[in-house]
Amino acid sequence: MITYIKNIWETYATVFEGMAITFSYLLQRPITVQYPDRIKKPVHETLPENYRGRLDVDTELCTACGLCAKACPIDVIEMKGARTERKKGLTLIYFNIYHGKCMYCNLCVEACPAEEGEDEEHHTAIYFKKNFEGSGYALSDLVEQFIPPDEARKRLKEAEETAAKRASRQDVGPGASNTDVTAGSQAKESAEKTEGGSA
Amino acid sequence: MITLIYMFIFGLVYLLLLAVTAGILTVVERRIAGRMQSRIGPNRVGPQGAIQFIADVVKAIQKEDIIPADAYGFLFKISPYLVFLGVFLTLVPIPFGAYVFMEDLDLGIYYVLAMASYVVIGLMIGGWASNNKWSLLGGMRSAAQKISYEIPAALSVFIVVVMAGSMNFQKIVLAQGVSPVDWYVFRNPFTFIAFNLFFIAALAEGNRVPFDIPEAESELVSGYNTEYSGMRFLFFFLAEWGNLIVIGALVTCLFFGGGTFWYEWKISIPAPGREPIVFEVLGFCWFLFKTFFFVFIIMWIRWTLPRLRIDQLMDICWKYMVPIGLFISLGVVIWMYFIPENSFVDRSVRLVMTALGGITVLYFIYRVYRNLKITKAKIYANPFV
Repeated sequence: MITYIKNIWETYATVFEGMAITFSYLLQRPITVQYPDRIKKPVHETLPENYRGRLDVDTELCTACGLCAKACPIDVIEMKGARTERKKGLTLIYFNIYHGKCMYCNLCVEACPAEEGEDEEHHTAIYFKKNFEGSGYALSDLVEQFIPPDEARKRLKEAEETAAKRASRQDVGPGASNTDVTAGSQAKESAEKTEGGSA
Repeated sequence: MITLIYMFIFGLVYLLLLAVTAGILTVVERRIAGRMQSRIGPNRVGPQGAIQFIADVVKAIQKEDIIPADAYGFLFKISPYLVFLGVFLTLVPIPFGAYVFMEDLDLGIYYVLAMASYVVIGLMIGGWASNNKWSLLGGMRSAAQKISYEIPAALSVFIVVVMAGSMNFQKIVLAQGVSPVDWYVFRNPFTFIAFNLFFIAALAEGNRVPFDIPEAESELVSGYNTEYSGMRFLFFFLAEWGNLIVIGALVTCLFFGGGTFWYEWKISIPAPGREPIVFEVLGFCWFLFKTFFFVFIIMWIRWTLPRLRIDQLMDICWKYMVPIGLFISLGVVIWMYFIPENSFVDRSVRLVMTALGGITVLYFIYRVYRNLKITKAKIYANPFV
């Protein structure tokens, strides 16, 4: 009989306490963030300072040295630099990033020698944006071409012309070497092949 | 002929009101559930998600109406309508206001209990006609539950009937008064226990948590309605949410003084020119307020408590509620014999009961405040986010 009454009492007491807890939640603000359209400020402003989103390249700053592509362990970056008459040094011919492959390891950014002042938004030519929204409808949407294909074709032509000119000029002179930098999957493959051959 | 047309029109109005209110309640329930779980709930369709239920219904109508090949077609088709009809018919004698009711039945409560058991037939037919053994088992399960819990419900209703001396809803409401002291909940200890029994039994009859074994959505994936899809499936749910209104209205009528406003609700037969229409409207609103308060409590319980096992369910019914129901139905008769109404003892008991109720509410508010303080959360009472 005592347990009988005790059971009834405990039922009421626990239900009472549980309902007090749920009611207290009714009076609290929900923690849901209504991403993407009903948020107070854009998401990238709320992210931490060194957040790694998608890779981006400042093509103006880039010296086309190819170190980033060589540093990348999984061949995310495919690029080529060559001499043209556009500017001193190397010009970017094409620069493609396979975002689908990238594992955000930061090795390319560490390798990048092209640096800007500390105050800038990004210190290096290749850097991580805070933008992480990269979904697309096709697999090819994940390949970002920082030099548009038309422009890349034009530049390639210019580079070939320049190379031919230089070759004709330096035919007799010493030190004629290929200054082109090609990096990326094909370049690495060929490099590996030659290494393997030499070994 | 004109009477028939009137009947048809009023029936249609009631039906539409019930359907739309049930639809709105689904949205309200989802919003409340969201807030109780620190999320928001549907707030995209219409202002603050207010017409989400229309989107749901449109989606359900677009679905294919699948009838299993071996199902018993006719019974399979009519079963959802039977269930919905059972819920809808319970609304007939409920007095929403002094003049707002369909039919003032002398056997009002008896009729309501009868119609509540009528729902069981719909569920059984639905489970059986699906020709699926799990659906059949689900139908049996819900029938067992509903029939079991009819007994405590009837016993607690019996107490109210004994107190009021009538089965007519109008007279029951009249026997109570405006203030909480006159309500049947706080009349004497037996009626208070009767209210608890009735509320729990009504939860069980309406398939609500913690008694939602017929359609245990979290793990059993429903019982009698597994084979239903589209609009027929929705009819079962419409019935469930319609049932909420019925439960709320019944509790209000039987234990919480109905729509009695500050003036006396004197007579159930329309007497034009007796009272200003404003008072009738206010009484109607007061009734609806009480009804939806209980609907809110039912939702609140749903998002607080886990579900009972079937053996616990039967334990509660047969070991606790039925004996207590029998005990209080004896006790209330003795009480009425020895303590006449409006005697000094009766009045003081009412006052003490009301005071205890008030203290419970205050203690509850204190517990809520403490819980808020423990979690160190800021109070955000705005229902819209």
